[in-house]
Amino acid sequence: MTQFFIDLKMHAFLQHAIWTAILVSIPCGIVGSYIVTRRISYVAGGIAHTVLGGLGIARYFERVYHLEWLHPIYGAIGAALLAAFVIGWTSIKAREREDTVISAIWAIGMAIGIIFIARTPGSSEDLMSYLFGSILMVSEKDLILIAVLDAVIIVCSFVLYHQFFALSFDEEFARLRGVKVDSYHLIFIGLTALTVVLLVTVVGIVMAIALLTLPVAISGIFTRRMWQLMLMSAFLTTAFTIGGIILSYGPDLPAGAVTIILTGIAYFLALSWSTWSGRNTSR
Amino acid sequence: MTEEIAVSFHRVNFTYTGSPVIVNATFSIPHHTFTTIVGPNGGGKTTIIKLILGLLKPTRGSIEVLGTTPENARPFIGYMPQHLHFDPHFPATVMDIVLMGLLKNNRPIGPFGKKTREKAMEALTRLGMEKFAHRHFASLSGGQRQRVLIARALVTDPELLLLDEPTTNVDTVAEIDLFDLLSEMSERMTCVVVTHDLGFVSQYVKEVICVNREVMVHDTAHLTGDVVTKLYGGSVRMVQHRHGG
Repeated sequence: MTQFFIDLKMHAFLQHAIWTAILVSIPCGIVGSYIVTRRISYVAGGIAHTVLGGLGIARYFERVYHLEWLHPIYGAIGAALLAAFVIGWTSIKAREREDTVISAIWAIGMAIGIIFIARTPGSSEDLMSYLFGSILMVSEKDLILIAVLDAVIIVCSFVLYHQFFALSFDEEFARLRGVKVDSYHLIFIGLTALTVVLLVTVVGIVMAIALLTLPVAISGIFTRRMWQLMLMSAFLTTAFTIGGIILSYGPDLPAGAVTIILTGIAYFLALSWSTWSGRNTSR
Repeated sequence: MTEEIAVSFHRVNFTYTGSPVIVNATFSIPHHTFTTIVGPNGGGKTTIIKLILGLLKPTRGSIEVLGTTPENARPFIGYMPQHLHFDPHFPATVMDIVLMGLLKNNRPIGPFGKKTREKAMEALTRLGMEKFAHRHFASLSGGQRQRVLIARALVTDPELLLLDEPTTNVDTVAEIDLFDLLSEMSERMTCVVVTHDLGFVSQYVKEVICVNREVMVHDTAHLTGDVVTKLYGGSVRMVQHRHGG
Protein backbone atom coordinates (compact mmCIF):
# COMPACT_ATOMS: atom_id res chain seq x y z
CA MET A 1 0.00 0.00 0.00
CA THR A 2 2.90 2.39 0.72
CA GLN A 3 4.13 1.67 -2.81
CA PHE A 4 0.83 3.10 -4.05
CA PHE A 5 1.40 6.42 -2.34
CA ILE A 6 4.97 6.63 -3.64
CA ASP A 7 3.74 5.90 -7.17
CA LEU A 8 0.80 8.28 -6.81
CA LYS A 9 3.22 11.21 -6.75
CA MET A 10 5.04 9.98 -9.83
CA HIS A 11 2.33 8.65 -12.15
CA ALA A 12 -0.27 10.89 -13.71
CA PHE A 13 -2.56 7.91 -14.45
CA LEU A 14 -2.95 7.24 -10.73
CA GLN A 15 -3.77 10.88 -10.02
CA HIS A 16 -6.32 10.80 -12.84
CA ALA A 17 -7.86 7.67 -11.33
CA ILE A 18 -8.25 9.35 -7.93
CA TRP A 19 -9.82 12.44 -9.52
CA THR A 20 -12.16 10.25 -11.53
CA ALA A 21 -13.23 8.43 -8.38
CA ILE A 22 -14.07 11.71 -6.65
CA LEU A 23 -15.82 13.27 -9.64
CA VAL A 24 -17.94 10.23 -10.45
CA SER A 25 -18.99 9.61 -6.85
CA ILE A 26 -20.83 12.92 -6.49
CA PRO A 27 -23.46 12.42 -9.23
CA CYS A 28 -23.55 8.74 -8.33
CA GLY A 29 -24.67 9.60 -4.78
CA ILE A 30 -27.22 12.17 -5.98
CA VAL A 31 -28.84 10.15 -8.77
CA GLY A 32 -28.48 6.87 -6.86
CA SER A 33 -30.51 8.28 -3.96
CA TYR A 34 -33.48 8.91 -6.23
CA ILE A 35 -33.06 5.60 -8.01
CA VAL A 36 -33.16 3.65 -4.77
CA THR A 37 -36.07 5.57 -3.21
CA ARG A 38 -38.07 5.40 -6.44
CA ARG A 39 -37.16 1.73 -6.82
CA ILE A 40 -36.17 2.02 -10.44
CA SER A 41 -32.74 0.43 -10.36
CA TYR A 42 -33.71 -1.79 -13.31
CA VAL A 43 -34.01 1.40 -15.38
CA ALA A 44 -30.36 2.18 -14.60
CA GLY A 45 -29.45 -1.45 -15.30
CA GLY A 46 -31.10 -1.29 -18.70
CA ILE A 47 -29.38 1.95 -19.64
CA ALA A 48 -25.98 0.66 -18.44
CA HIS A 49 -26.12 -2.40 -20.68
CA THR A 50 -27.36 -0.44 -23.68
CA VAL A 51 -24.22 1.67 -23.39
CA LEU A 52 -22.21 -1.26 -24.84
CA GLY A 53 -23.97 -0.68 -28.17
CA GLY A 54 -22.82 2.96 -28.26
CA LEU A 55 -19.29 2.11 -27.15
CA GLY A 56 -19.01 -0.64 -29.78
CA ILE A 57 -20.30 1.50 -32.64
CA ALA A 58 -18.10 4.50 -31.75
CA ARG A 59 -15.00 2.33 -31.34
CA TYR A 60 -15.67 0.61 -34.68
CA PHE A 61 -15.91 3.87 -36.61
CA GLU A 62 -12.93 5.31 -34.76
CA ARG A 63 -10.71 2.37 -35.68
CA VAL A 64 -11.98 1.39 -39.13
CA TYR A 65 -12.51 4.90 -40.54
CA HIS A 66 -9.75 6.54 -38.46
CA LEU A 67 -12.06 9.10 -36.93
CA GLU A 68 -9.65 10.22 -34.22
CA TRP A 69 -12.14 12.64 -32.65
CA LEU A 70 -14.73 9.93 -32.09
CA HIS A 71 -14.09 8.99 -28.48
CA PRO A 72 -16.06 5.86 -27.47
CA ILE A 73 -17.59 7.86 -24.60
CA TYR A 74 -19.54 9.93 -27.19
CA GLY A 75 -21.07 6.69 -28.41
CA ALA A 76 -21.85 5.75 -24.81
CA ILE A 77 -23.57 9.11 -24.16
CA GLY A 78 -25.61 8.77 -27.36
CA ALA A 79 -26.74 5.23 -26.60
CA ALA A 80 -27.50 6.01 -22.94
CA LEU A 81 -29.60 9.08 -23.79
CA LEU A 82 -31.46 7.20 -26.51
CA ALA A 83 -32.20 4.32 -24.12
CA ALA A 84 -33.25 6.83 -21.44
CA PHE A 85 -35.65 8.54 -23.81
CA VAL A 86 -37.27 5.28 -24.93
CA ILE A 87 -37.58 3.98 -21.36
CA GLY A 88 -38.85 7.31 -20.01
CA TRP A 89 -41.34 7.73 -22.83
CA THR A 90 -42.63 4.18 -22.36
CA SER A 91 -43.13 4.68 -18.64
CA ILE A 92 -45.17 7.80 -19.30
CA LYS A 93 -47.28 6.28 -22.06
CA ALA A 94 -47.70 2.65 -21.05
CA ARG A 95 -46.59 2.07 -17.51
CA GLU A 96 -47.45 -1.61 -17.27
CA ARG A 97 -45.11 -2.66 -20.10
CA GLU A 98 -42.07 -0.75 -18.91
CA ASP A 99 -40.10 -3.75 -17.66
CA THR A 100 -40.51 -5.63 -20.94
CA VAL A 101 -39.29 -2.62 -22.91
CA ILE A 102 -36.28 -2.27 -20.61
CA SER A 103 -35.38 -5.94 -21.06
CA ALA A 104 -35.59 -5.55 -24.83
CA ILE A 105 -33.41 -2.42 -24.88
CA TRP A 106 -30.97 -4.02 -22.45
CA ALA A 107 -30.41 -7.08 -24.66
CA ILE A 108 -30.55 -5.35 -28.05
CA GLY A 109 -28.02 -2.73 -26.91
CA MET A 110 -25.59 -5.42 -25.81
CA ALA A 111 -26.10 -7.44 -29.01
CA ILE A 112 -25.32 -4.41 -31.20
CA GLY A 113 -22.22 -3.71 -29.12
CA ILE A 114 -20.94 -7.27 -29.38
CA ILE A 115 -21.41 -7.37 -33.16
CA PHE A 116 -19.49 -4.10 -33.68
CA ILE A 117 -16.74 -5.15 -31.27
CA ALA A 118 -16.38 -8.46 -33.15
CA ARG A 119 -15.92 -6.49 -36.40
CA THR A 120 -13.40 -4.04 -34.94
CA PRO A 121 -9.78 -5.07 -35.47
CA GLY A 122 -7.88 -5.91 -32.26
CA SER A 123 -10.48 -4.82 -29.75
CA SER A 124 -11.04 -7.69 -27.36
CA GLU A 125 -9.27 -5.73 -24.63
CA ASP A 126 -11.74 -2.89 -25.15
CA LEU A 127 -14.61 -5.26 -24.41
CA MET A 128 -13.11 -6.21 -21.06
CA SER A 129 -12.61 -2.58 -20.04
CA TYR A 130 -16.18 -1.66 -21.09
CA LEU A 131 -17.65 -4.53 -19.13
CA PHE A 132 -15.54 -4.26 -16.00
CA GLY A 133 -14.19 -0.72 -15.95
CA SER A 134 -10.84 0.90 -16.63
CA ILE A 135 -10.32 3.64 -14.08
CA LEU A 136 -6.52 3.38 -14.41
CA MET A 137 -6.72 4.26 -18.11
CA VAL A 138 -8.43 7.64 -17.77
CA SER A 139 -6.50 10.30 -19.72
CA GLU A 140 -6.44 14.01 -19.06
CA LYS A 141 -8.83 14.53 -21.97
CA ASP A 142 -11.23 11.96 -20.49
CA LEU A 143 -11.02 13.72 -17.17
CA ILE A 144 -12.19 17.00 -18.69
CA LEU A 145 -15.15 15.23 -20.31
CA ILE A 146 -15.99 13.56 -17.01
CA ALA A 147 -15.87 16.94 -15.24
CA VAL A 148 -18.25 18.46 -17.80
CA LEU A 149 -20.79 15.63 -17.42
CA ASP A 150 -20.39 15.95 -13.68
CA ALA A 151 -21.21 19.63 -13.74
CA VAL A 152 -24.33 19.07 -15.89
CA ILE A 153 -25.70 16.43 -13.51
CA ILE A 154 -24.90 18.37 -10.31
CA VAL A 155 -26.36 21.67 -11.56
CA CYS A 156 -29.58 20.02 -12.84
CA SER A 157 -30.06 18.07 -9.60
CA PHE A 158 -29.55 21.18 -7.51
CA VAL A 159 -31.93 23.33 -9.53
CA LEU A 160 -34.64 20.63 -9.64
CA TYR A 161 -34.13 19.26 -6.11
CA HIS A 162 -37.69 19.86 -4.86
CA GLN A 163 -39.30 18.70 -8.08
CA PHE A 164 -37.33 15.45 -8.12
CA PHE A 165 -38.00 14.99 -4.41
CA ALA A 166 -41.77 15.35 -4.81
CA LEU A 167 -41.70 13.10 -7.87
CA SER A 168 -39.96 10.37 -5.88
CA PHE A 169 -42.31 10.55 -2.92
CA ASP A 170 -45.71 10.97 -4.52
CA GLU A 171 -45.92 11.49 -8.26
CA GLU A 172 -49.70 11.88 -8.34
CA PHE A 173 -49.64 14.61 -5.72
CA ALA A 174 -46.83 16.46 -7.49
CA ARG A 175 -48.89 16.39 -10.68
CA LEU A 176 -51.88 17.86 -8.83
CA ARG A 177 -49.69 20.71 -7.54
CA GLY A 178 -48.96 21.64 -11.13
CA VAL A 179 -45.49 20.11 -11.35
CA LYS A 180 -44.80 18.98 -14.91
CA VAL A 181 -44.20 15.44 -13.77
CA ASP A 182 -43.63 13.86 -17.19
CA SER A 183 -40.99 16.39 -18.27
CA TYR A 184 -39.12 16.08 -14.98
CA HIS A 185 -39.30 12.30 -15.21
CA LEU A 186 -37.64 12.45 -18.65
CA ILE A 187 -34.99 14.88 -17.42
CA PHE A 188 -34.28 12.63 -14.46
CA ILE A 189 -33.91 9.50 -16.60
CA GLY A 190 -31.57 11.54 -18.85
CA LEU A 191 -29.41 12.43 -15.83
CA THR A 192 -29.44 8.76 -14.85
CA ALA A 193 -28.11 7.95 -18.32
CA LEU A 194 -25.22 10.43 -17.96
CA THR A 195 -24.38 9.09 -14.51
CA VAL A 196 -24.33 5.55 -15.84
CA VAL A 197 -21.89 6.61 -18.58
CA LEU A 198 -19.59 8.01 -15.90
CA LEU A 199 -19.86 4.83 -13.85
CA VAL A 200 -18.98 2.64 -16.82
CA THR A 201 -15.52 4.22 -16.75
CA VAL A 202 -15.07 3.36 -13.09
CA VAL A 203 -16.54 -0.11 -12.64
CA GLY A 204 -17.83 -1.05 -16.08
CA ILE A 205 -21.26 -1.88 -17.47
CA VAL A 206 -21.84 -5.01 -15.42
CA MET A 207 -21.09 -3.52 -12.01
CA ALA A 208 -22.36 0.07 -12.48
CA ILE A 209 -25.68 -0.73 -10.84
CA ALA A 210 -23.98 -1.89 -7.64
CA LEU A 211 -22.12 1.37 -7.16
CA LEU A 212 -25.30 3.31 -7.90
CA THR A 213 -27.44 1.53 -5.31
CA LEU A 214 -25.39 -0.10 -2.52
CA PRO A 215 -23.83 3.06 -1.01
CA VAL A 216 -27.34 4.58 -0.94
CA ALA A 217 -28.70 1.49 0.78
CA ILE A 218 -26.00 1.78 3.46
CA SER A 219 -26.57 5.52 3.92
CA GLY A 220 -30.32 4.98 4.16
CA ILE A 221 -29.80 3.32 7.54
CA PHE A 222 -28.17 6.43 9.00
CA THR A 223 -29.96 9.37 7.35
CA ARG A 224 -33.50 10.72 7.42
CA ARG A 225 -33.45 13.44 4.79
CA MET A 226 -32.84 13.28 1.06
CA TRP A 227 -29.89 15.66 0.94
CA GLN A 228 -28.21 13.82 3.83
CA LEU A 229 -28.70 10.57 1.94
CA MET A 230 -27.07 12.07 -1.16
CA LEU A 231 -24.13 13.51 0.76
CA MET A 232 -23.36 10.35 2.67
CA SER A 233 -23.77 8.16 -0.42
CA ALA A 234 -21.38 10.36 -2.40
CA PHE A 235 -18.86 10.20 0.42
CA LEU A 236 -19.11 6.41 0.72
CA THR A 237 -18.83 5.94 -3.04
CA THR A 238 -15.65 8.03 -3.06
CA ALA A 239 -14.24 5.97 -0.20
CA PHE A 240 -15.08 2.62 -1.83
CA THR A 241 -13.74 3.64 -5.23
CA ILE A 242 -10.47 5.06 -3.93
CA GLY A 243 -10.21 2.07 -1.58
CA GLY A 244 -10.62 -0.23 -4.57
CA ILE A 245 -7.85 1.55 -6.48
CA ILE A 246 -5.43 1.40 -3.53
CA LEU A 247 -6.14 -2.22 -2.56
CA SER A 248 -5.96 -3.52 -6.12
CA TYR A 249 -2.74 -1.69 -6.97
CA GLY A 250 -0.18 -3.84 -5.09
CA PRO A 251 -1.48 -7.30 -6.10
CA ASP A 252 -2.36 -5.98 -9.62
CA LEU A 253 -6.07 -6.92 -9.42
CA PRO A 254 -8.85 -5.30 -11.49
CA ALA A 255 -9.71 -2.06 -9.61
CA GLY A 256 -13.40 -2.11 -10.56
CA ALA A 257 -13.94 -5.59 -9.18
CA VAL A 258 -12.12 -4.81 -5.92
CA THR A 259 -14.23 -1.67 -5.53
CA ILE A 260 -17.42 -3.71 -5.88
CA ILE A 261 -16.23 -6.38 -3.41
CA LEU A 262 -15.44 -3.60 -0.93
CA THR A 263 -18.87 -2.02 -1.46
CA GLY A 264 -20.61 -5.37 -1.17
CA ILE A 265 -18.86 -6.23 2.11
CA ALA A 266 -19.77 -2.84 3.57
CA TYR A 267 -23.38 -3.29 2.44
CA PHE A 268 -23.81 -6.67 4.08
CA LEU A 269 -22.09 -5.50 7.26
CA ALA A 270 -24.40 -2.47 7.45
CA LEU A 271 -27.43 -4.63 6.73
CA SER A 272 -26.54 -7.13 9.48
CA TRP A 273 -25.84 -4.32 11.91
CA SER A 274 -29.16 -2.58 11.23
CA THR A 275 -31.08 -5.85 11.51
CA TRP A 276 -29.26 -6.77 14.71
CA SER A 277 -29.71 -3.34 16.31
CA GLY A 278 -33.22 -2.91 14.97
CA ARG A 279 -32.31 0.50 13.66
CA ASN A 280 -34.21 0.07 10.42
CA THR A 281 -37.55 -0.35 12.13
CA SER A 282 -37.19 1.89 15.17
CA ARG A 283 -36.26 5.11 13.41
CA MET B 1 -80.64 28.45 -6.95
CA THR B 2 -78.58 31.25 -5.50
CA GLU B 3 -76.38 28.88 -3.56
CA GLU B 4 -72.89 28.57 -4.90
CA ILE B 5 -71.86 25.14 -6.11
CA ALA B 6 -68.37 23.71 -5.52
CA VAL B 7 -68.67 20.49 -7.50
CA SER B 8 -71.25 19.44 -10.01
CA PHE B 9 -71.56 16.22 -11.98
CA HIS B 10 -73.90 16.14 -14.95
CA ARG B 11 -74.81 12.70 -16.36
CA VAL B 12 -71.31 11.39 -15.75
CA ASN B 13 -70.39 7.89 -16.85
CA PHE B 14 -67.02 6.33 -16.24
CA THR B 15 -66.02 3.02 -17.76
CA TYR B 16 -62.80 1.20 -16.93
CA THR B 17 -61.62 -1.49 -19.39
CA GLY B 18 -65.14 -2.09 -20.61
CA SER B 19 -66.96 -2.33 -17.29
CA PRO B 20 -68.99 0.57 -15.96
CA VAL B 21 -67.70 2.03 -12.68
CA ILE B 22 -69.91 5.08 -12.44
CA VAL B 23 -73.27 5.17 -14.19
CA ASN B 24 -75.19 8.32 -15.01
CA ALA B 25 -74.15 10.36 -11.96
CA THR B 26 -75.79 13.74 -11.51
CA PHE B 27 -75.26 15.57 -8.24
CA SER B 28 -73.79 18.72 -6.82
CA ILE B 29 -71.92 19.70 -3.68
CA PRO B 30 -72.65 23.21 -2.37
CA HIS B 31 -69.87 25.53 -1.20
CA HIS B 32 -68.83 25.57 2.47
CA THR B 33 -70.44 22.30 3.39
CA PHE B 34 -69.14 19.14 4.96
CA THR B 35 -70.14 16.31 2.67
CA THR B 36 -69.30 12.66 2.86
CA ILE B 37 -69.10 10.02 0.16
CA VAL B 38 -69.99 6.52 1.31
CA GLY B 39 -70.47 3.16 -0.34
CA PRO B 40 -69.10 -0.37 -0.43
CA ASN B 41 -65.49 -1.13 -1.37
CA GLY B 42 -65.12 -1.13 -5.14
CA GLY B 43 -68.31 0.87 -5.46
CA GLY B 44 -66.52 3.83 -7.08
CA LYS B 45 -65.88 6.25 -4.18
CA THR B 46 -62.23 6.87 -5.07
CA THR B 47 -63.21 7.12 -8.73
CA ILE B 48 -65.51 10.05 -7.88
CA ILE B 49 -62.59 11.80 -6.12
CA LYS B 50 -60.22 11.17 -9.05
CA LEU B 51 -62.85 12.49 -11.46
CA ILE B 52 -63.14 15.69 -9.39
CA LEU B 53 -59.34 16.05 -9.53
CA GLY B 54 -59.26 15.42 -13.27
CA LEU B 55 -56.92 12.44 -12.78
CA LEU B 56 -59.61 10.41 -14.52
CA LYS B 57 -61.71 11.68 -17.40
CA PRO B 58 -65.42 10.87 -17.63
CA THR B 59 -66.35 8.54 -20.48
CA ARG B 60 -69.48 10.59 -20.94
CA GLY B 61 -70.99 13.61 -19.20
CA SER B 62 -69.43 16.73 -17.72
CA ILE B 63 -67.88 17.80 -14.43
CA GLU B 64 -67.48 21.32 -13.15
CA VAL B 65 -65.28 22.09 -10.14
CA LEU B 66 -65.16 25.56 -8.52
CA GLY B 67 -66.76 26.99 -11.62
CA THR B 68 -64.17 25.61 -14.03
CA THR B 69 -62.69 22.36 -15.35
CA PRO B 70 -61.14 19.89 -12.88
CA GLU B 71 -57.61 20.63 -14.22
CA ASN B 72 -57.97 24.37 -13.81
CA ALA B 73 -59.39 23.94 -10.32
CA ARG B 74 -56.40 21.90 -9.08
CA PRO B 75 -54.46 24.78 -7.50
CA PHE B 76 -57.48 25.42 -5.25
CA ILE B 77 -57.98 21.80 -4.22
CA GLY B 78 -56.35 20.09 -1.23
CA TYR B 79 -56.17 16.33 -1.56
CA MET B 80 -55.26 13.43 0.67
CA PRO B 81 -54.98 10.10 -1.16
CA GLN B 82 -56.19 6.83 0.32
CA HIS B 83 -53.07 4.86 -0.48
CA LEU B 84 -49.54 6.11 -0.65
CA HIS B 85 -47.08 3.89 -2.47
CA PHE B 86 -43.86 5.22 -1.04
CA ASP B 87 -40.63 3.60 -0.01
CA PRO B 88 -40.99 2.59 3.66
CA HIS B 89 -37.64 4.20 4.45
CA PHE B 90 -38.15 7.26 2.28
CA PRO B 91 -35.74 9.93 3.55
CA ALA B 92 -38.12 12.73 4.50
CA THR B 93 -39.16 14.51 7.67
CA VAL B 94 -42.75 15.43 8.44
CA MET B 95 -41.88 19.03 7.47
CA ASP B 96 -40.55 17.89 4.07
CA ILE B 97 -43.85 16.16 3.36
CA VAL B 98 -46.02 19.16 4.28
CA LEU B 99 -43.80 21.52 2.27
CA MET B 100 -44.55 19.35 -0.75
CA GLY B 101 -48.07 20.76 -0.59
CA LEU B 102 -46.64 24.22 -1.28
CA LEU B 103 -44.73 23.13 -4.34
CA LYS B 104 -45.39 25.04 -7.54
CA ASN B 105 -44.07 24.33 -10.97
CA ASN B 106 -42.04 27.49 -11.26
CA ARG B 107 -40.59 27.82 -7.81
CA PRO B 108 -37.30 29.59 -7.20
CA ILE B 109 -34.14 27.52 -6.78
CA GLY B 110 -32.90 26.55 -3.34
CA PRO B 111 -34.47 25.79 0.02
CA PHE B 112 -37.98 26.88 1.01
CA GLY B 113 -38.16 30.32 2.60
CA LYS B 114 -39.01 31.14 6.20
CA LYS B 115 -42.56 32.23 5.40
CA THR B 116 -43.27 29.00 3.56
CA ARG B 117 -41.96 26.95 6.48
CA GLU B 118 -44.10 28.93 8.92
CA LYS B 119 -47.12 28.15 6.78
CA ALA B 120 -46.32 24.45 6.87
CA MET B 121 -45.86 24.60 10.65
CA GLU B 122 -49.26 26.28 10.96
CA ALA B 123 -50.93 23.46 9.06
CA LEU B 124 -49.20 20.91 11.31
CA THR B 125 -50.33 22.80 14.41
CA ARG B 126 -53.93 22.70 13.22
CA LEU B 127 -53.70 18.92 13.24
CA GLY B 128 -51.80 18.76 16.51
CA MET B 129 -48.70 17.42 14.78
CA GLU B 130 -46.29 20.35 15.35
CA LYS B 131 -44.18 18.32 17.79
CA PHE B 132 -43.47 15.82 15.04
CA ALA B 133 -42.24 18.34 12.44
CA HIS B 134 -38.66 17.11 12.47
CA ARG B 135 -39.42 13.43 12.89
CA HIS B 136 -38.75 10.90 10.16
CA PHE B 137 -42.05 10.46 8.31
CA ALA B 138 -41.62 6.69 8.00
CA SER B 139 -41.31 6.33 11.79
CA LEU B 140 -44.84 7.60 12.48
CA SER B 141 -47.88 5.44 13.12
CA GLY B 142 -50.55 5.03 10.47
CA GLY B 143 -52.87 7.57 12.09
CA GLN B 144 -50.07 10.12 12.54
CA ARG B 145 -49.06 9.76 8.89
CA GLN B 146 -52.64 10.39 7.85
CA ARG B 147 -52.69 13.62 9.89
CA VAL B 148 -49.48 14.75 8.20
CA LEU B 149 -51.00 14.05 4.80
CA ILE B 150 -54.12 16.02 5.79
CA ALA B 151 -51.81 18.89 6.81
CA ARG B 152 -50.14 18.64 3.38
CA ALA B 153 -53.61 18.92 1.78
CA LEU B 154 -54.57 21.88 4.01
CA VAL B 155 -51.38 23.89 3.74
CA THR B 156 -52.42 25.84 0.64
CA ASP B 157 -55.71 26.98 2.26
CA PRO B 158 -57.73 25.25 -0.46
CA GLU B 159 -61.30 26.10 -1.37
CA LEU B 160 -62.09 22.43 -1.73
CA LEU B 161 -60.65 19.73 0.51
CA LEU B 162 -60.88 16.11 -0.65
CA LEU B 163 -59.95 13.41 1.88
CA ASP B 164 -60.04 9.79 0.76
CA GLU B 165 -60.63 7.50 3.77
CA PRO B 166 -58.86 9.67 6.36
CA THR B 167 -59.99 7.51 9.28
CA THR B 168 -58.87 4.07 8.15
CA ASN B 169 -56.02 3.68 10.66
CA VAL B 170 -57.39 6.00 13.29
CA ASP B 171 -58.93 5.15 16.64
CA THR B 172 -62.37 6.39 17.66
CA VAL B 173 -61.19 9.38 19.70
CA ALA B 174 -58.93 10.59 16.89
CA GLU B 175 -61.76 10.06 14.43
CA ILE B 176 -64.09 12.29 16.41
CA ASP B 177 -61.33 14.91 16.76
CA LEU B 178 -60.81 14.89 13.03
CA PHE B 179 -64.50 15.24 12.23
CA ASP B 180 -64.76 18.11 14.73
CA LEU B 181 -61.90 19.85 12.95
CA LEU B 182 -63.37 19.27 9.49
CA SER B 183 -66.77 20.42 10.62
CA GLU B 184 -65.20 23.65 11.93
CA MET B 185 -63.21 24.13 8.71
CA SER B 186 -66.23 23.60 6.50
CA GLU B 187 -67.27 27.14 7.43
CA ARG B 188 -64.34 28.35 5.34
CA MET B 189 -63.94 25.62 2.75
CA THR B 190 -65.87 22.78 1.17
CA CYS B 191 -64.88 19.50 2.80
CA VAL B 192 -65.54 16.22 1.04
CA VAL B 193 -64.63 13.06 2.94
CA VAL B 194 -64.75 9.52 1.60
CA THR B 195 -65.53 6.90 4.20
CA HIS B 196 -66.90 3.39 4.36
CA ASP B 197 -68.04 4.04 7.90
CA LEU B 198 -71.19 6.05 8.48
CA GLY B 199 -71.04 5.54 12.25
CA PHE B 200 -69.88 8.94 13.42
CA VAL B 201 -69.98 11.02 10.35
CA SER B 202 -73.77 11.22 10.17
CA GLN B 203 -73.65 13.48 13.23
CA TYR B 204 -71.59 16.03 11.35
CA VAL B 205 -72.91 16.07 7.81
CA LYS B 206 -76.23 17.06 6.42
CA GLU B 207 -75.88 15.16 3.19
CA VAL B 208 -74.38 11.84 2.26
CA ILE B 209 -73.43 10.93 -1.29
CA CYS B 210 -73.89 7.20 -1.68
CA VAL B 211 -71.85 5.63 -4.44
CA ASN B 212 -72.36 2.10 -5.70
CA ARG B 213 -72.02 2.46 -9.48
CA GLU B 214 -75.04 4.74 -9.23
CA VAL B 215 -74.83 7.90 -7.19
CA MET B 216 -77.57 9.04 -4.83
CA VAL B 217 -77.66 11.93 -2.42
CA HIS B 218 -79.36 11.36 0.91
CA ASP B 219 -80.29 13.70 3.67
CA THR B 220 -78.78 12.22 6.85
CA ALA B 221 -81.95 12.99 8.81
CA HIS B 222 -83.87 10.61 6.56
CA LEU B 223 -81.17 8.03 6.27
CA THR B 224 -82.25 4.95 8.13
CA GLY B 225 -80.49 1.63 8.52
CA ASP B 226 -83.11 0.10 6.27
CA VAL B 227 -82.33 2.35 3.34
CA VAL B 228 -78.62 1.69 3.64
CA THR B 229 -79.02 -2.05 3.93
CA LYS B 230 -81.29 -2.14 0.91
CA LEU B 231 -78.88 -0.10 -1.17
CA TYR B 232 -75.59 -1.60 -0.14
CA GLY B 233 -76.31 -5.03 1.24
CA GLY B 234 -75.40 -4.10 4.79
CA SER B 235 -71.73 -3.42 4.07
CA VAL B 236 -71.94 0.10 5.45
CA ARG B 237 -71.93 0.38 9.22
CA MET B 238 -74.71 2.59 10.34
CA VAL B 239 -75.70 4.14 13.63
CA GLN B 240 -78.80 6.22 13.69
CA HIS B 241 -78.67 9.52 15.51
CA ARG B 242 -81.30 11.89 16.62
CA HIS B 243 -80.38 15.30 15.37
CA GLY B 244 -81.22 17.95 17.89
CA GLY B 245 -83.71 20.75 17.14
